[in-house]
Amino acid sequence: MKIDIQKVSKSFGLFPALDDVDVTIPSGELVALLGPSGSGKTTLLRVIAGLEVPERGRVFFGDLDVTQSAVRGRNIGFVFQHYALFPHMTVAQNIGFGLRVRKYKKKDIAKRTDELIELMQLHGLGNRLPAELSGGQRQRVALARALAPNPAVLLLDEPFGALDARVRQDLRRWLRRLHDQIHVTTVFVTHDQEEAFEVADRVAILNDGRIEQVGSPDEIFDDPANAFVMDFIGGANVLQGHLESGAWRFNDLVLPHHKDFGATGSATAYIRNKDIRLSCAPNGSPFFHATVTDARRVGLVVHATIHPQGSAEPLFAEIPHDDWSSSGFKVGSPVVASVKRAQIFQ
Amino acid sequence: MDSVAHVAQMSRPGKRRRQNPLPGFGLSMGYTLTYLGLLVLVPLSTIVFKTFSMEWSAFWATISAPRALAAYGLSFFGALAAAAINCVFGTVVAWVLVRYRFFGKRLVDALVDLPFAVPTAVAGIALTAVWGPQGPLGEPLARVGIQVAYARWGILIAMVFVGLPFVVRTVQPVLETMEAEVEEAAATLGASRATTFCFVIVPHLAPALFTGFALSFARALGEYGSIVFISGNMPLRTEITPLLIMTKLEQFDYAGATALAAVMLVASFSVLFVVNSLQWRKGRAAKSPRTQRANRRAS
Repeated sequence: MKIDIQKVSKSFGLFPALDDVDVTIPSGELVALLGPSGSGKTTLLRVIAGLEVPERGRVFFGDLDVTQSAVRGRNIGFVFQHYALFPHMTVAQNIGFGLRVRKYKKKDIAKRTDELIELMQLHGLGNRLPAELSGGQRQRVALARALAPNPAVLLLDEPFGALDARVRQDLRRWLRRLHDQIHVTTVFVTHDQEEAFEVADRVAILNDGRIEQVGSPDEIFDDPANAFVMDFIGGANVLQGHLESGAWRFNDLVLPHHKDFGATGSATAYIRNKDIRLSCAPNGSPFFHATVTDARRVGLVVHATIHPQGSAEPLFAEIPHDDWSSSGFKVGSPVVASVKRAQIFQ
Repeated sequence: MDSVAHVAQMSRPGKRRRQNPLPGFGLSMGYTLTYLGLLVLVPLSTIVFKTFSMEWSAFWATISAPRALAAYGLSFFGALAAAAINCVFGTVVAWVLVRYRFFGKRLVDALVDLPFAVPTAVAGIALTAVWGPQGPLGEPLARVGIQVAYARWGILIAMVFVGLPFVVRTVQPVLETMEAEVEEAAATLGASRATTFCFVIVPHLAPALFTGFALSFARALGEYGSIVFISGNMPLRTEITPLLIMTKLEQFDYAGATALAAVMLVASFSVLFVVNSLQWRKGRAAKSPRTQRANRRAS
């Protein structure tokens, strides 16, 4: 089921949690809502679920306007950050709850519950109480409970937030595989970009209640829409330069750009650590002269700190270890640093 | 993670002798037993000993007299009914106090405790004034043929009055700690408010409700001061057991009074014991040995 969010706004008191949000979630996709805390991602998820009513704007499931319809009529599955399992019910009763309130026959409930216990790899835990499970198991029960009534839309709020690193990693991959099996339209909220990019087909980046960019992980990495997205993804050098005759300049570094900026003025260039190459002579890419001031090997790459000539601010470069050792550079070597790619925002 | 399991095993060296991480069990348990013994057990046991001074036939005649039987029935069924009523309406009051924000909430919250604080005789006089034949509530009811004061309804009202705070104050904290997310989860799964209440909230409140019921029942059973004003105290009709005991004491029939007291004691202990074991069974599930095993496996 496609989800269409049109011009949705919602505030809590004076705090605007969502500000004129437009986003479409295509049917069958797995979409991550990514953003820093307080960016409105959970509020957006709760608006989709019907747990919050937006002050303005509409929410469509397919062609149906569900803005005013109650949570229980929306046929969604929702997984809460802290699971929210019913503490007095066994695992099987928890999973079957959605079917029980829909007045399914006992036999059918048992069949579907068994199916999900199988799918979620919860064998032998059907008679346990939630208190008797580990965090990862509880999370899978919460997911099974949400999936049992065959929801049109699956919504997950920071689903792996409360788990430790290894369990997170496993569950993440497992969620991806599960989605490839059942293809239910899924939206999940996270503040962890690694999680978002690893799991999702598309990522929507939120900031201050607004959508900054929606796109595939490739689109977001290769073509970030604005400075916030670039900053948020991180791992880049930030250089303040100025615009002059169709190019961005910083000392001897000149980066051509194709954007429609004003003719002059200051602008910021983001250069990823990986996009800086060190060599003895220019190789055709934009470049600047610098001195290596530090180099540390971290696994298969070398983290080099370089000081551009005529600037006090150091830059960071990540060089594959093989390239570094064959180049023969050491701390103190003068180098030509070429820039493979940069993003410029005014 | 293996190391966690390892440490867990190390901390339990033998099966027979478990090290209790909390010291001072012997001292505090000794204190508890002495304290409860002096304050509860010794005074109450004198009732039993005093009763032994009677002949068996006299004892039987006293406790099975029609007037006594009527008094037990009134006391027990009245207290049970009052506790049940308090469970329903006390839960509503607790719900309103926890879930909503409104003007004067603190005042309402304080009002709940008033039946604790008011001397029972004052409560009795006040209730009689309100529900009596000339009272603002009793008068219109009397016109449609319902007599409250000096009848069984009055006793029930007094019992409900004194027991109310118990249910509110036991249910309130449980409601406060209940995650709103659990209710939201029920809604996302398609449950209506009523379904959520019956299948999610009430089972969660059950242990607290049992406790509230037991306390409210016990309070109503032992209540004397307020009821004697409103009940009219007619033998066989509106005479509660504590009053009958009082009557016997006034006639210097100490043995007879203790015989009735012994019956009350046994009966109320049985009811409290049953309610407590029901509650214990409910609460046990969450911290059964199985739970601890599962947690160990999980780590």
